[in-house]
Amino acid sequence: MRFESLELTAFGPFVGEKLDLSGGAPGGLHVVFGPNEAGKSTSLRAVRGLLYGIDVRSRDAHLHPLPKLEVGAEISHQGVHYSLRRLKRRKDTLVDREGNPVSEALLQQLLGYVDERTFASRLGLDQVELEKGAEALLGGSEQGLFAAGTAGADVRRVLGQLEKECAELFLQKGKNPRLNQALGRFNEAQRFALDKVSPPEKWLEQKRALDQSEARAHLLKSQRRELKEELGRKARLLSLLSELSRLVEVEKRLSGLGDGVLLDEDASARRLTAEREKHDADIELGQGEKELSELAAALVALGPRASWADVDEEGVKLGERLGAGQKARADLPKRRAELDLSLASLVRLGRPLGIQLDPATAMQRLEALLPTPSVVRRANVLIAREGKLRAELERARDKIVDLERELAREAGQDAASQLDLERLARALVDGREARSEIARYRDWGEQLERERKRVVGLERELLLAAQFVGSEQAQPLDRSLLTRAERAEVQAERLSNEQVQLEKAKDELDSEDRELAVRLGHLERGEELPSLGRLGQARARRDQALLALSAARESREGAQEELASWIVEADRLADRLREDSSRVAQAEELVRERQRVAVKREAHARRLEKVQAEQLALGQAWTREFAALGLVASARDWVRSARALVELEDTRHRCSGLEEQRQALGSRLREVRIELSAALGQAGADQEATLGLGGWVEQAEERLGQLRRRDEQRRESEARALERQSARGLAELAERNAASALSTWEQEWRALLDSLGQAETTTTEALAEVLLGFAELSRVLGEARSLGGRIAGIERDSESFASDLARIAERYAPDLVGRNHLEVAEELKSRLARSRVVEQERLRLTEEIRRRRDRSADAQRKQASAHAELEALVRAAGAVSLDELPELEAQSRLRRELGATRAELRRVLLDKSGGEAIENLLGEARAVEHKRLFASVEELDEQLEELETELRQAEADASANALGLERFGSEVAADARQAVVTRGAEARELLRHYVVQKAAQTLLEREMSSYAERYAGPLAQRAGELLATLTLGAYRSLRVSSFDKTIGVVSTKTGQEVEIEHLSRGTRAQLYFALRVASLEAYFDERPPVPLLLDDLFVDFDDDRASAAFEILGKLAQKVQILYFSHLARDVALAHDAVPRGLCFEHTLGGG
Amino acid sequence: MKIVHAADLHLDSPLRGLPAYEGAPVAEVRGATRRALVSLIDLCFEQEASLLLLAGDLYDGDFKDYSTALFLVEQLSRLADLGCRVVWLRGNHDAQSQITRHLRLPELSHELSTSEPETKLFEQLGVAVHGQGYVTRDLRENLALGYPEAHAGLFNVGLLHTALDGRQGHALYAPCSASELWARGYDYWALGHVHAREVIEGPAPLVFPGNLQGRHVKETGPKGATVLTLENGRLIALEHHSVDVVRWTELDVDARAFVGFGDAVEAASRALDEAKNGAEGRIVACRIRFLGRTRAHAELGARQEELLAELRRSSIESGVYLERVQHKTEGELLLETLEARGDALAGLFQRTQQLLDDEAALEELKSTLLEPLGSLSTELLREELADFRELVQEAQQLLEGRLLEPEVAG
Repeated sequence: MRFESLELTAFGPFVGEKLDLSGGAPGGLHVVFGPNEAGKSTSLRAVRGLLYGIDVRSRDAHLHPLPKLEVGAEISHQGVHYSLRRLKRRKDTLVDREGNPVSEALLQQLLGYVDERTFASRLGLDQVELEKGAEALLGGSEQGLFAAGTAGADVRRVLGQLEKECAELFLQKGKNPRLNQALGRFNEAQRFALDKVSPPEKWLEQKRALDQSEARAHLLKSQRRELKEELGRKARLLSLLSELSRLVEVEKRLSGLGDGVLLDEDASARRLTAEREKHDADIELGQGEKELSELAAALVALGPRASWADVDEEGVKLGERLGAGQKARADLPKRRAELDLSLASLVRLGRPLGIQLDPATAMQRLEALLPTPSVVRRANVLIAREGKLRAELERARDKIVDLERELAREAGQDAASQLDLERLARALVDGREARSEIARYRDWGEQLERERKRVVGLERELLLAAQFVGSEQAQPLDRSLLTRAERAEVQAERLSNEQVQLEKAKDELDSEDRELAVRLGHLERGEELPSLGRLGQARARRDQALLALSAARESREGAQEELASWIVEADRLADRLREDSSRVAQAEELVRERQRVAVKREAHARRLEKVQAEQLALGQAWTREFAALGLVASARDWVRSARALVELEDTRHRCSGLEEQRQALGSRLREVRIELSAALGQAGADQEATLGLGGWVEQAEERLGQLRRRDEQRRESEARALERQSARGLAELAERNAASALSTWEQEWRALLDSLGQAETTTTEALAEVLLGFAELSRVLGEARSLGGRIAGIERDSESFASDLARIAERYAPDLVGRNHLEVAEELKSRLARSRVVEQERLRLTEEIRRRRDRSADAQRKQASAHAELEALVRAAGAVSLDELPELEAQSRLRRELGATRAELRRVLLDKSGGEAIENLLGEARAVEHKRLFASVEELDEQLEELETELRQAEADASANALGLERFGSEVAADARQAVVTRGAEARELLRHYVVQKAAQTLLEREMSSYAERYAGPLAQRAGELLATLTLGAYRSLRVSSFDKTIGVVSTKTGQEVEIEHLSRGTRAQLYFALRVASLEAYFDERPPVPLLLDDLFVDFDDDRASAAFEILGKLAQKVQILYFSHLARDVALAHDAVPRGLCFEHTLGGG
Repeated sequence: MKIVHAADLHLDSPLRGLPAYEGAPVAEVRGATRRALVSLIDLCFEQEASLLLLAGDLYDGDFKDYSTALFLVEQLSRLADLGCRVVWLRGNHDAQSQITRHLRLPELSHELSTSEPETKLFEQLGVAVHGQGYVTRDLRENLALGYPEAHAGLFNVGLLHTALDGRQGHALYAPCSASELWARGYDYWALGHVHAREVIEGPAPLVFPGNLQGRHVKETGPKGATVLTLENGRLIALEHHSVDVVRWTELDVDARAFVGFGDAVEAASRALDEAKNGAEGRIVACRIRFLGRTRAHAELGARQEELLAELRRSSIESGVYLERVQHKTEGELLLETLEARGDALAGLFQRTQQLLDDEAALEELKSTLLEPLGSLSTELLREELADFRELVQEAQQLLEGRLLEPEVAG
């Protein structure tokens, strides 16, 4: 297939951009030039989007919304035309011109079923891919060939990734990879689970032990109970002996006291309290009378109450107003002097302004004369505006004068002939193009010469071979026969190599098998290897020996010697059994190993047979075909001669083509020179001097340069004149505006002067001076007004104070009426302070007398109460007088204490008696001897202690056994079993993952290896030729080792083979390019062509190598359409030079 | 009157195939069979059952931790409060179990003989239970033929651990046919051994209640016991009650409409939520299987591990235990189109496809891959590599993803 056109309808920055790609069919090299930012990468993405769908996350939706993206193309394939559009949507994204959905299968078929990634990596190539390809060559020739041949360079990365992922999962002796770790966890879980299992036998054993320890504890508890009862009884009696004897004593003392009045417990305390209170009240009453008489005397001494008592509030104000009045009297003369000074200033300031003032009336007169603030503001605005308006007018007038002067200068520039200029430019473009082709014209001549020599050489070679004598008259060679022959040759070589490898592997396996057989024989020879039956017998004998041993131990009848002999025999048998088992296990392992080797040998043998059969079939097929054609020469000779013949035909074909092209180019060069001389006005110059074309071009370039410079100057002058005319119009407008504004100002100015009473001729400067004078007058007038106000206030306050004082003096101190008001105020203030002190003392004495009277009344009440209490106590005790009371109180107290002691002792005895009656206890105590009772208790105590120790032990045993039994109820073992399974599942998951990764890696490696074997030869030969062209002959060929497929290139200079590692990075890239092109040529030999997309591929190539690369592309472009995207103008020129005219086309992105 | 019929308790048997991963409900899954037994006893109380029948395989044969037995005794002892009797017999697992030999069940429990068929009469209930347990694990004789005649006037139940005439995934122990069972003239056959619930209708229902708790992904769906309702000595209703703690399920996710990775995550997450919602509050253990021909085939293959991690995150959010994710999709890249392409990459996939049909070549590849794994547990290897062909298919899918899938633009 090929693109006839490509339309970027709405994609990235493009709107309706169309590239016509119809030229050069069926191939054609289309150089799409787009400087940086012109959308080169976008257009590449657009092509991919067209063929495989626009990416759902496309970043080309910046100008158009994502759903509106659209790319279209006209595609032709085997004579059929398709018009397709790709839309950005979820379904049916491929449509025809009318918008009807088109099956993706159609595009897939047109593209030869190449998927998107393969398309990008094989049919597309860019600088990055070229670099990666060069890297891939370093990684190993198989990878490099595979990458170059088909899969794109990133196959190496994929392989590397798989290897890395496998290593991260598992290493044979590793610890850290994930699978190794998971296996460690699995094994650990298994060990733990095994450890936690408790079988039933153990449970039964534990249960028996628990039952026994519980029964023992039960028995001991019963014994302890009986012993405790006995001990309790005796110990109780012993402990009560002391209380019992005290009880007897108390009873005796109580009966000795006889009967009597039992007084209240607090009778004594009450008596003492009443006596103390009565005594205190007596003293208080005597003291009260004395104090009251002293206080009454002091009150009389203060005298009668003064009439000043109500003057309090007035007094306070009097103090404050007296201070203010004294200060005002001192201030008043100062203020009056300041006012006089201000009035004198007004008179002085008025004089220069022509205002004559009298100090007495100055203030009133000025109020009427001074201008208002709004008039002053207006005057200031007008003064400020005048200068600005006059300056604007001046500037506008100056600008008009300048512009007119410049306009006069620009007039009169002369013009060049436009017609001559265009003709010369066209002729020069053709001239340059033709000059660049002179080299090609010469090269073609040289190449033609070489090809003709090659024709002669090949004809001679064929004559010598006598195979195709008179080949020009013979039937044309069947080229497909040659292709088949070459393939058969390659296949035969591959089979032969595989046969060698398989035979080598077979030898290795044979050797391994022999070694295993030797090891097995060695095991068997060492001592006869026991059969499983014999091992069973040995086990039975061992068990028999163990049974006998056990029987001997139980019966104890056997002699020591017999026992010893059985032990030795059992040990010997056990050792022997272990050794034999180990040997059997080793032997089994070796047998398994041999079986594995046998399986492999069989597989290899099968493969070898298959290879041999293929070789035979191949030979037979070729013999049949060769014989059927009646060819007598050997196949190898025939192939060699056939190749020469094919080359001869091709070379003759190239010669005639070259000749035609060269003639056409010669005619064109002549036409160009004639036109160039005519354009320079020198028609009739030497028409045969082809080599003089360069001189004509230089002359034309110089002439054209002069003409263009002059033309440029003239255009610039015209543009300047236009600009200046426009500026003059603007300046005139500004002048008019400024004059009008000035006239308005003058009217306002005159009105202002009139309102200020100034002469019409007053200038702005003079008026500004006047305004300053007015401002100063206004400020001084304000100060004078403020001083006048303050003086009037002081005088008013003084008069009011004097009147108030006269009123107070008349009321409270008539002796002061008629004196100065400030002296009156001072005296009144002093009198008031004194009367306040006397009044406060009077109040204090009155309060003191009241409190003293209250305390005396209280003392009288207490005295009466104490007396009543004492009388009541005497009555209660049945005493005659107060003096008998202390003795009666002491007797009552003793009786009460003994009664309480007796009650307490009986309570204690009842508590401790264990239900026994106190009388019985008293009887028992009387009957027993204290010492014997004590000894008996001691003895019982010791017995109990021993029993307790035994019981504790028994209970501890039972508790430990119960705990042990409880452990059988835990879920630990079951949980551990679940954990084993869980860990196993984890390990299995990783194992599966590892096997999948490893399988993928192995399959890919095998395919690479097989590919390298199949295609290394033919690919290397063609790539070598291309490399020679690319490196301008520095390297002449490429060799691939048939043994290990290593690649080497042969240096032309030294004739030596250079390994890839020793090539420069650039040469490696060229090598990879050569391999890619060789592979593509082979690919397109057998399949319909598909366009190639190349993106800025030769950025790092110097001009010569880039030119050579374009030459190679030019050849490929005869058959295959190539879209070469570049941002270098150099590439465009080089492509035009290197590629035949009818095959190379140039397109500019964004430039139409 | 109610009778509860259960079988195949496999007490303390672990749930298989569930790997440990961060956030997985490992603790919730632990002890699932024990909790299922507790639920069974609770069910007896709810139904006020008079009789509990256990048709064998109370334990896993190879597990000998005695705490399992103690737990069984503890749970069955609870039934004394209800007055519910228990009749049980040994299945193939119990026959080899060391636990069974030492077990003493509570007073109201009765074990049917292993030496000959035995009848246990419950005259007050009007029920006769006939049966015989396994004396050895590998019991291949037809036990049912020796079962006694039915007792007239009583509800006769045959208790038997059998695979009948064969059931998928179960060894053919105590083989017999349905007609042989019906010929005994009993009213109900309480069977055990087959882990999937099955009711065979006929003159008397032959019922496999299934196991109490599914133990791996092949034992999906509700698991529990069958409740029989008797009225006047006649069976009037049979009802299944779920007692499982962890519900196993396999989720098939249709991948045909997938465009990429995100679609797979979204669809599978939705399926996980639905599975959880349908499990009546139980923990769900599940396997996800992507099926169908899809554009996303290669991408899913290339990002298998990422997808697994993503779905595990989703499963944690949904409260589901994700056992495994299987890729059973097919790509749109057909062999015919590969052939038409005829390049080296196409060659790779063509040869891999040929390999899948060549047993000898598969075996050779397997032995090559297993070489460095020689030291690994053979049990793990055997289980995981049983279907090696499937692994190679996954490897092929992985390569498709890595080599053919358009790379995401950085």
